[in-house]
Amino acid sequence: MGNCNIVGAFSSGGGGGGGASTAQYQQTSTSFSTSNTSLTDITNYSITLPTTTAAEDDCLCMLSYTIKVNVSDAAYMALTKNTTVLTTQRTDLFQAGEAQAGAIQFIADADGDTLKAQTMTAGGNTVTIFISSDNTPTLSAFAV
Amino acid sequence: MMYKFTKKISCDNPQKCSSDIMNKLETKFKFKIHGKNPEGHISIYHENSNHLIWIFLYDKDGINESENTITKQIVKVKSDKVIKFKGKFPTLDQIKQTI
Repeated sequence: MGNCNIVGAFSSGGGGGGGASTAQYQQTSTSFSTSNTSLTDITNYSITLPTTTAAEDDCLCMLSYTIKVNVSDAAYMALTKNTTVLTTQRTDLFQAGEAQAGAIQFIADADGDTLKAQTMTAGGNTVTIFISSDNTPTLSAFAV
Repeated sequence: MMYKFTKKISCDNPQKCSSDIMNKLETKFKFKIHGKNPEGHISIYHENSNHLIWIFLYDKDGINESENTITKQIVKVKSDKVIKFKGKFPTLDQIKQTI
């Protein structure tokens, strides 16, 4: 499968007196694997958070993902703003070769900081975590 | 210690690709980069014909290392899961030749 990296932003007019709303997103079909037992950056999964002139200067940060392991275990997914971990999510225990899909989200300040997706193995017995290429993960941020 | 390099590899199965590379390294250099109490870890970005590979070998007990992909700095965090690699650290060329 060919690689497909898409980085972009799109805007829409604000309604009801709100400011402009801008979304940022990162999408790739290239797999990433790691055996790290601490959170590690997922390559090419970082975006610059939008900025907004709306009174509520927040943005909704989301990561949808599909992962696999090659030894039965669980994994952690995380959204990290600069160096601060915003939120983590532990997957269910799953079996080798089984794909597990999920999503993680957090509302953060829409201040132009860098948002990264991170992952790690959970139990120490997992060899590698994979971002599957057949269900493309996407990192997004929407000003709200 | 971080070893970071690119390698012309194309793979249809990232799981097998990762396991194969890990097994080659662990067999050749006798370090443990997966499982309980690893002495390091490996990360791979499986871009076709241009795999980006990180191999970390820890030089202190209880200190995990990884790279911040934005700043390119080495991030060191405490971890009771990892141990120091007590063997002889290979050179980058030795690692490249093994994969």
